Amino acid sequence: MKELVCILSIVFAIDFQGNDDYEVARKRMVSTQIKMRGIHDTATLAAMLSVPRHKFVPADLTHLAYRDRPVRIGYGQTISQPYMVAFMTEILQLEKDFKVLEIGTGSGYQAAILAEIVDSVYTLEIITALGTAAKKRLEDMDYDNISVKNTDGYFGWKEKGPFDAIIVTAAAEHVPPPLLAQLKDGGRMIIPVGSPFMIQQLLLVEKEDNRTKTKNLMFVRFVPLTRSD
Amino acid sequence: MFGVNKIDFYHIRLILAVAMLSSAIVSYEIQLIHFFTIVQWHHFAYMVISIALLGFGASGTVISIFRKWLLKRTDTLLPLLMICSGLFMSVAVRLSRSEMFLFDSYTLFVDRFQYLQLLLTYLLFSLPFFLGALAIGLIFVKKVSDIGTYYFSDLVGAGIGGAMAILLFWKFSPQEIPSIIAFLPILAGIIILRKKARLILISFAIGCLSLIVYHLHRPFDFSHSQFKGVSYALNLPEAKITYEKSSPYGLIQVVSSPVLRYAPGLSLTHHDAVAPGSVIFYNGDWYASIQPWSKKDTSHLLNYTTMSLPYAFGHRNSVLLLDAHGGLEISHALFNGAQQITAVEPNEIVISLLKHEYAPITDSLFYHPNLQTHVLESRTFLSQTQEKYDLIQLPLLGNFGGTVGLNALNETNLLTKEAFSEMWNNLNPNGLIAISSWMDYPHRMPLKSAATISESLESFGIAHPLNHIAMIKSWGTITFVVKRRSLTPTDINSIQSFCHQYEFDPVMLPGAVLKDKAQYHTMEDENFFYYLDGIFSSKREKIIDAYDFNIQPATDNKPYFFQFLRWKKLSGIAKQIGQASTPFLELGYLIAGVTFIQVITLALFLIILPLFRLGWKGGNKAWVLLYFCGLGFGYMFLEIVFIKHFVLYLGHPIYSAAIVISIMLISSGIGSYFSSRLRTHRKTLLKITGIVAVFILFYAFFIGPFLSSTVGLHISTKIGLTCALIALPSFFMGMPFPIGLKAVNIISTSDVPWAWGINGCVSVVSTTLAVIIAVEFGFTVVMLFSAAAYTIAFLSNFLFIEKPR
Repeated sequence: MKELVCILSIVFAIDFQGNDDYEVARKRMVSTQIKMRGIHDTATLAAMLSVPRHKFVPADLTHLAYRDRPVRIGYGQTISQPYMVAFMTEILQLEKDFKVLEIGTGSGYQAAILAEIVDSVYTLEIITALGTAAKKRLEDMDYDNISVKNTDGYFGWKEKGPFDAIIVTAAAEHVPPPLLAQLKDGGRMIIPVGSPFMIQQLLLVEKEDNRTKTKNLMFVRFVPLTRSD
Repeated sequence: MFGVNKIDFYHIRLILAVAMLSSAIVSYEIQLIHFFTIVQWHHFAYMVISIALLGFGASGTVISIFRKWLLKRTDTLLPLLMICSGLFMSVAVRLSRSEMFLFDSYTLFVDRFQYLQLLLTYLLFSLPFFLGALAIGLIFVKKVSDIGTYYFSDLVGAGIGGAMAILLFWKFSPQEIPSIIAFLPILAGIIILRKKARLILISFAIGCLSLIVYHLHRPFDFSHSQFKGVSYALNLPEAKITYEKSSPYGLIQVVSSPVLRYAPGLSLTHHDAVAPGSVIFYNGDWYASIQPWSKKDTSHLLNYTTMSLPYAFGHRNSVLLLDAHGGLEISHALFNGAQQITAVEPNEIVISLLKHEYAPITDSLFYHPNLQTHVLESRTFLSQTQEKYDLIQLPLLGNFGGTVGLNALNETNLLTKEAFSEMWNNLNPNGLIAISSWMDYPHRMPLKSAATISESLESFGIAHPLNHIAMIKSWGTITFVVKRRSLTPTDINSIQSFCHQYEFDPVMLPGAVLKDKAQYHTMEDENFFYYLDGIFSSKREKIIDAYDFNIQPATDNKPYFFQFLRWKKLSGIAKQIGQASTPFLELGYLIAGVTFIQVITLALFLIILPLFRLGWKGGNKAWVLLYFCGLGFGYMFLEIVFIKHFVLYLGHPIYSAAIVISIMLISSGIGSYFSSRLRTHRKTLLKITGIVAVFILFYAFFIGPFLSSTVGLHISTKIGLTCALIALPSFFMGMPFPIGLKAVNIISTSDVPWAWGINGCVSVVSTTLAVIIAVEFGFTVVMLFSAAAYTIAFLSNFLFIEKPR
């Protein structure tokens, strides 16, 4: 009988999970998936601890929210693996008064993490349905320092620029020149470049005295999502 | 008298039915390869069809076990099997698109559920082959005394089927073709109907035909795998297919979207937004980009990429662009002042759409007076041309981020050492060769290109190869140029200025030091430079041997440039990058290995199973096994080598393959027909198999040099030579099987289906094995294996104990 209860509790864990459980899961996520992999920036860790990631995934997939993996959010898009979110946030070396541009709002989770650290976040989403849902979600969660716009992120948000940091969360095949133009001198941009279904490289672009340098930080692999989702 | 005529008439109908069924089976097989390559990838097509073709072996097993029962009912069974085979040809493809069977080879290694769907897919596609083969097998067993005629009909039908498939590809869509082919077996079934159960069978056939007509009117969903490039492109906002054409070349689709922008490894100094373009997809994979272009343009996108390196240090007047694809490199050459541009592209559909439908976008680029286009295999063009060029440019290699081995089994004749040698010989004294590649990780393509260049320069007797090479990289691409003469100090200065202007790193340039190599773009793994330097040093062999991936240069004998997997290093790679990631690095060859294991296991099972019924001893079992295995291996090995050789020789891959297959099968059919005149005894078996073995052995050594020496001849002469070279051995290769089957019939009638099954199984095993042998040891070895297989068949005849008649 005990074994049966145990199996059922694993299988249907999500159905019995309350807010306290999510907080526990979040803490575990930060300590086991993020800190242990070398993320030490206190602002990033604090943001990852405070943003309720389960509110950014579809209702039927909340049990996967704190797992060490991306989660589908519809329209062929995903919410990135927690570690990738933390890694990309830390590498930008954010400061409180920074103005940050995000390309690829998706669920709005990355924008929320950024908004916990900096004063203003501007985020662009090309898929209208996703952008609209993310905007409503972020408003409901009282994020008043995030501006969401539905448009092609390739051209950035010229009127709001230049930006101290730019984070691109959707794979691009080249570094869009308009984004580079909207990056402040001394600013940093992180962008995954590569084919969406193959291996991508995470590229850090630094602008210094109007010359740019890139650093290949890591190769990331797209793993097709399985039916266990 | 009347009775005799009636029997003869049935005999003719039966011969015709075998030809029709065989023709349909071969057409269907080719169509399935085409279909699966479009919706999935070539390696998946190869896996499913290999297993499905084991239906031939299975038919032998079933006849062996239920021989008497089946033979008693042939009048009803034969038409029924043929009709059912046709029915499943139409139904299987349609059903495979339903949720129950929908399968994605890309997720095979991460989603266990896919195994079940894979199994169901195997079973589904085995059905039309199994039912058709069962009908042919039953006819062979029943008419074994006249096997020469029936086997002739089978082979000629198959040869016609190959040619028919090509015609169908021009006229019909991939959704329609299976249903159209399905008519043939059903009609074959109808023409052999006899009195028994005629009404029921006619009604059934009419029902099947009606269903097929319905299928033709209601085409099924034809979506690509979600992991194919075209699916990704179609997910983009406002993306739409603006052109689509199916042909023997495959499915060409052009996708346009306002957010599709192509700029390979674009320099970060490029300040303007890249204009959206269209993308040509070939069988759902990215093929080329169509970029808007005008003669009045004041800049060119490729000038901001490493691909502009050849123009950065000199004027290139005559330019040869191999596999020119979408024409971006053509406009680039024109923009940089080239006066004579020769573009070679093997796909005539692509050339046609750029010349017609998309001419306005590119300002009629393909009609530019400075441009000459050739629809031909680039390698064949290189072998034939007498022209000399200032620049020979190859297409950008690979996909962004790597190819995950999807092209591992594609023969890339343009990237071999011999191809490089031909390019070198077609250069003007100051000419250069340019090769660009996407950066991949783990590093494979750039290192293999470097190894090819290094070994080639050494073979040309270049004392200081590094004085002839410049290599630069951006954040995403790397470009090599190899100059025939040494780079001058002026060349080097110009390259350095170009790199500085566009923020590229000179990875290899006379005088460049380590700190220059990652001035603008730092790499995660700087061992790349160590390996690169090593490849151009005396340690080259050691470096190549020690590397985790196969970066040994490709050769004409082993033309698999994109095959990087080394089996012995697989566990090391898995440890390094993780078990789950490994399949995504080199999927293609891994699937070839998995296919071989599956096929050999099933084939052994199907060959051994009848022995429980037939008994393990008696009836010359050892001879039957060795003889028919020898024939199966020998024939298929040679067919695969012939296709490889003659595709390169004739230069038009689709038609060349069709010519080879059709000539080979029809000649063998004629050989089979003539075999009826030969007496069935050991001497004949020895003579025929001996002749074939000697023929192939002779070909193994002389066909390569002969084809190389005559490649420059006119195409009609080459087609004539091709026919003669293939027909002669094929004629003899058509004889051993029918004579062998007759011999089996004399010594043990019940073993005839077993021999038929062995041949069916081994034909499939040999196809999968040939690919592995070619990748590991080369095509010459495959040909030697073919000769060895016939030699085994020859020697096995000494085990053959003739039974007194």
